[in-house]
Formats: sequence, C-alpha cells, structure tokens
Amino acid sequence: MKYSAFSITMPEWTPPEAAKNLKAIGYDGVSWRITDQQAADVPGFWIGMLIVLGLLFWFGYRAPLTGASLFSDPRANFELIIGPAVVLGLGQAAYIARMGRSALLEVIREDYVRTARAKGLNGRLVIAWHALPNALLPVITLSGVLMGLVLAGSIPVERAFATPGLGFAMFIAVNERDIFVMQNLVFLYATVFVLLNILIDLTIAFLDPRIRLR
Amino acid sequence: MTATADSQAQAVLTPSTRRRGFWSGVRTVTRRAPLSAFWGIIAALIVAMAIAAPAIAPYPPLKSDFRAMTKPPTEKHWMGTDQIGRDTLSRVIYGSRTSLTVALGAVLFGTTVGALWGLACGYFGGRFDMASQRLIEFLQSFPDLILAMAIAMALGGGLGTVIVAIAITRIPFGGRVIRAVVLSLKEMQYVEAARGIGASHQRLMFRHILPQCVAPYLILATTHLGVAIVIEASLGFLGVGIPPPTPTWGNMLSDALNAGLVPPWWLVLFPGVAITLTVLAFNLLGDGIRDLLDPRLRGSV
Repeated sequence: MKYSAFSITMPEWTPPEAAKNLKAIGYDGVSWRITDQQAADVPGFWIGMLIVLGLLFWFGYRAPLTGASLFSDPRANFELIIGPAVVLGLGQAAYIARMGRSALLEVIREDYVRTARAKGLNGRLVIAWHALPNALLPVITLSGVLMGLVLAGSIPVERAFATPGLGFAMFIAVNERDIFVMQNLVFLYATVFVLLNILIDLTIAFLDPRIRLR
Repeated sequence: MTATADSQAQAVLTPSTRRRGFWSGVRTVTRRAPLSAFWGIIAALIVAMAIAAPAIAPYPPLKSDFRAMTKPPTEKHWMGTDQIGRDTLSRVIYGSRTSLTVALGAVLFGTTVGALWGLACGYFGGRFDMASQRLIEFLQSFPDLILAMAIAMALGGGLGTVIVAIAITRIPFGGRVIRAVVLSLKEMQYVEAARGIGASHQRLMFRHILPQCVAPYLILATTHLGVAIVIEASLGFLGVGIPPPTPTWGNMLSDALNAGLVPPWWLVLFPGVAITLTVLAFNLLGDGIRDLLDPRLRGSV
C-alpha cells in the first residue's frame, strides 16, 4: 500500500463542477434532465469494469498492474490514477451539477446581479464574476457530503480497476477476513471523512463573512 | 442537510385540502409526468420478474451446462454462460429476487426504525434528543458503504445480515427528517388541543403526530431504494454480501473479475445493465411519488 486513494480522489472536483455550471447557464433543458440527473444512479464500479474492458478490447491498453510512486514514476502513477479519478469524479458531477444549478438560479435573481446587468456588463461576465462565486458556496458544502460517496466508492472502483490503493487494500482485507486491517482502515476512512468535513466548514467560514466560527 | 429537513417539514405541515384516491393519483402522475409513469411501469415489470423468476428463467440459476462454458451469447443462452456453464440470463433474472428483497427489507426496516426514533427524539426533546442526535451523527460519520461493509463483515455473510447492515446505514436519514417534521408538528394547535384535553404521550405520538409523517416517510423510503440496491451490489462485488452460489448481480460481477485478467464482456455487461435499469426505475418512480405527494419538495430530497 505505497500509495493512497486520497490522492486519487482530490483532483477531480473542479473541472466537472465548472463545466456543469456553465452548462446550466447556457442550455438548461432536456439534455440536463436526461444526462445529469441519472448519471448518479449508475454504479461506478460497473462503469470502471466497462472502461477497463473497452480499453483492452479496442485499444489493447491496460493500466500498469503494479503500484507506482508519484515521484519515482509519475507517468505510471498517472495511468493508475486517471481511471478511478474519472469514474468517481463523474459520479459526483451529477450531484454537483444539480446543486450548482439550483444555487445559481437562486443567486441570479439577487439584486446585485441585476445591478451588474444594469451597469451594462456582458451577460457571461456577470455570471462568471458576480453570480458564480456566491453560487459555489452551497456546492462546497455539498462536496463535503459527497466526499463520503467518493471515499466509499473508492473501494469497489479500485477493485474494478485493480488500482493498488487504500480501497483495494480494504477489499483484500475483507476477502481474507483480516479483521485487524479492516478495523483500522474503517477507522482511517471515517477519520479522513470527518476531518475533510471540518476542513470544508472552515473553508466556508473563511469564504463567507456572514458565517462566524464560535 | 438540516435546511432540507426544515423545508420538508414546512411543506408537509400544510394540510392537503382534498383526499385523492390511488387511481386518480396514478392518472395525475401519468398526465403530469409521463416519464415517471414510464419508469414506474419498468419498476413494476422488474418486480414482476423477480416474483415470477422460476417461470421466466430458461434454466435453473445453479445448473451447469458443461458443454457451454464461458460461451458468448447464443440462441440457446441469450446472455451467454459463465465459467462453469451457468446461464447468465437465468442468473440475472434470479438476481433480481435477492436485490429487491434486500433493498425492500433494508429500506423498510431502516427507515421505520429511523422514523420511530426520530418521532421519539422530536417529541420528547431534551437530554434524550441530545444523546440521540450525537449517536446519529456518529452513524453518519462513516461513509455508507464502509459502515455497511464493516457491519456485514462483523456479522458474517447472509441475506439477513446484509439487510441489517444496509438498514443501519439508512437509520440516520429517517431519524433526521422525521425529527424535523415532528419538531414543527408538535407546536401545532391541534396537538396542543389534544394535550389540553389530557391525551397521553402515547396517544399524542401515535394518533396525532405519526399520521402526518406518512408522506415524508414514503418519500424517504422510495428515494432510498435505489441507494440500497447499489450498496447491495457493491457488497456482493466486494465479497461481503450474500455468499456466492446465490445469484446476485454483485456476485456475478465479482465472479466475472475473478475469472482472470480479461473478464468476458457478456458477464460484465448484463448484470450491470440490470443494476442500472433497476436503480434508474426506482429513483425516477420515487421522483414521481414525491411530486405527487408533495409538489413543493421537487428536487430537495
């Protein structure tokens, strides 16, 4: 277990989030309802298996089977990470898009956005600079809850990709009935989950001056 | 999370002006949300498939055909066969039985326990409520699947333990939502009036407050069915679910991976499609039921 699942789960928040928000601005309609709401229902590990199988089938490609450290072999490391990261990230994207959409729709009705429009600013600029930062606050809060989804999801998804991470270690511990390792991993996962949520609460307090920490 | 619960409480508190029958409700859904109605039909078909599994399945799910092992889909075996020649189609059909039993059992059990607990918390308040909330927060501090895994592993595999494991992860949701509803119901005038004429705690809780909690309870239960199915499949996939010879969708995917480095595509594709379709159907049906019971909750649960 050279190498942790958390490095996998971290980088994937921002790009889908931003993309989906922009999408909500531009063409909010049928496509939104069909693709985004239902993406959350598909089990990630199955998508992972399909991706592995498809890559092997059509391109004859398979990610490296052994673990690789970020510093000694960054390329192999990236090949290991990218699959689980994409699957887990897209799994959240649906929730984030749903939240981002409703938050943005709420913020757009605010007075200061109307003022910005009245000043004659470009519509896209108003949304990107004035509305989006405020609309992202609930999205950040939600991402704390979603971390649980990612952490738990990492176990079956890492098994599907055979990624040598914490999730895979958990899978092996479970299958070998290695209670001791399992206990510690459960504890570790829960600790990370709680700590991340505390971190997110602090971030929110930092970003939103209306919220005070006591 | 509390914000949603509060808004739910608000929405539930407004009494409906007229009572609607089941069939007129169905008609309303069909007219207003044809998509939900369509998925409702799919969900009904899946349930029917689970009930009538022995009649539909072309082969017994455990019967091996040693002349066709790991064969791609053919006319004889529409979804191919696995490594020991068991028919994938029959196993997918029988798998729906386990999935639905576990999901229904776990959601009913978990949400009911959570709802009763939430009712007690909201009604009595005080120190009991404080302690209960901390306990619920403790349960929520574990990600769903990890908690279910830990419990299933501690109790040992089997249908009952998987149901209990998933049910325990559903308790906090029921507890939170119902507590919020009860907190605001408790202050309503009719409850106060009942207390004024000397109704006992028991009577207040079960005759006056509980009936108002039915709508949020139903909404919660239907929205969590899909989650329960995915957790069950994940448990099977990880090898802590119902032990192998029983056909479950998670077990089938797990077996496919165990077959070797390159799993045969038909063993991966079909069980996954079954999971996805079922979850989709139940979630969209849940959306429809929510819209019907409480139009104001659209998109909030």
